[in-house]
Amino acid sequence: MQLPERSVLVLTSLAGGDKHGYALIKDVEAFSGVALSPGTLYGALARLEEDGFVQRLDVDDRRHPYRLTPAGRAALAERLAESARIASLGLRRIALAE
Amino acid sequence: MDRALAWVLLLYPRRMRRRYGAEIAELTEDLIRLERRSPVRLLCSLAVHGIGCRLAWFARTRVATAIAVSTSVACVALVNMGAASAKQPASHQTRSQLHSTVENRCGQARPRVTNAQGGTARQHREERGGREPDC
Repeated sequence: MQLPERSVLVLTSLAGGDKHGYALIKDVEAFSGVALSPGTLYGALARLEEDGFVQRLDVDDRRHPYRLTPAGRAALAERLAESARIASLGLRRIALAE
Repeated sequence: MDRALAWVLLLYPRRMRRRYGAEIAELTEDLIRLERRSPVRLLCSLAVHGIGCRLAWFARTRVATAIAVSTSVACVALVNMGAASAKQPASHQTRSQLHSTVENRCGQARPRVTNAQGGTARQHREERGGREPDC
């Protein structure tokens, strides 16, 4: 299953621990420079929750934290390994061309 | 602001609004208050995303309905065709096939079989000097 880029960002953030919406946006912005909008974030979370990749936890101070599930961890690992393979190949080709 | 946000959230499909609406509203307010993000920009972004969600949902449900209806129609048609062919005896022939067979047995006429060049099989054999086999 091909994960969209924004879903990879959300899953990567959740791999570091449970977070609610605001903390997710701040973390994603810090490590990737991408400023997600609330609509984009909750669109991605809704899809990921539907696919069983994240779990919505009970309310904590009026906010719902989200947690990465084992299926989400496996999907993220697969996607990141694929990205790493492509990145490695691309860098090798660039080095050869120079 | 709250009123505008409530209106914008109406653009989202009901299911998503009910589950995430309060969280989206709270996060939007947090981003305006703590991050100094532009309210207009955030509302526009929410509106565009809400319309996108609704269109995607609409397309998904319409396509699903179309597939279900066409599959049902195809199944009914196949079942009817199967039932109709089961009722016919194995040796059943259409009227034209039966007429053609009777004519052949009596030597009165043969079905016209057209070859690739446009002539009949009989014409082709006669051109080659052949003759029709006896009935």
